[in-house]
Amino acid sequence: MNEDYINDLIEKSLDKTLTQTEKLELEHLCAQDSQVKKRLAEAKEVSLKINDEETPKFRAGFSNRVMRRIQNQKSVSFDELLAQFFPKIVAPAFAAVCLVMVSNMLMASPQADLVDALFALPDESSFSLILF
Amino acid sequence: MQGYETFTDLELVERAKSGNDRAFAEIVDRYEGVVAATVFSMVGQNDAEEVGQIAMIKFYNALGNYKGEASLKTYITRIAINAALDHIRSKKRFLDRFRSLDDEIIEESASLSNQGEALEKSQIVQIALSKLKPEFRSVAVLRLVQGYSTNEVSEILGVANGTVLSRLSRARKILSSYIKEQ
Repeated sequence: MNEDYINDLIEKSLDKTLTQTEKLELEHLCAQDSQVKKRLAEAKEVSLKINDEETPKFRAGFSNRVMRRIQNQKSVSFDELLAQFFPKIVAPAFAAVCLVMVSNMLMASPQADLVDALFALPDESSFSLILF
Repeated sequence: MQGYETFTDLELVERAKSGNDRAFAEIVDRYEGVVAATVFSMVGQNDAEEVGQIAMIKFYNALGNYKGEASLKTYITRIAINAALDHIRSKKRFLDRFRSLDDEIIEESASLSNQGEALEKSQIVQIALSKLKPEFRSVAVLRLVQGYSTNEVSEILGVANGTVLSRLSRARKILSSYIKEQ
């Protein structure tokens, strides 16, 4: 007889979920094989012993201690915040500035200097004049 | 707590997912017994609190992964078992540098046995469980202490039902012989 099948019958017997056929089969196996009978007795004994024992508990206030650790975990340092949000803020801001500059350049007159066009500066306050 | 006792598990999880920590605290209250039964049997009294807290924090951090396909009890038990197995592995790695885990288990059992007859009586099973290898212990804890069916144990641990049955049979034999010795 397959070992797994015998083990399964023993488990079902403990759960009291054996069908009538399985029950007869297990009784037959126990009558035939003293090892199966011994295993069934051992299984019942261990289950009884475990059910007799008091269930262990955490000391009072377990959920408070867990929640405190979760709160501590949430209060991240400034460095972590910076690392987390820097890419999210800087990348879109840079893209927006580029977009504005390109649209300025497209709207500027063809004679305008490139730098003036990018910053939408009038000719008289030209960067080029100031700088060069 | 603002009437969360009447909420279903799924309602609590949904609230916790949207950042409601009181809802999560209610889940912790509701399932601390399940976690305690698992981790005490898996790692013993000394480390149970730490492993229990780690299990709950892991659950909090992975709340988004829970879609309600398994019961919350099963889901949290799985996290607790994995946290306990991780703890056993890392402790073993640490101890292996200095001595064998068997020495530790024997020492732990001996110290528990010396704490008086009353304690010994109430902890025979805990001591016996500590004698099992982690893969046998996890099966025994889920089936014998938590009362899961062998199919559920197989699902929680992600091993075949046949493996659960054979590990269980072997674990029972060891437990039975230890209990008889007492």
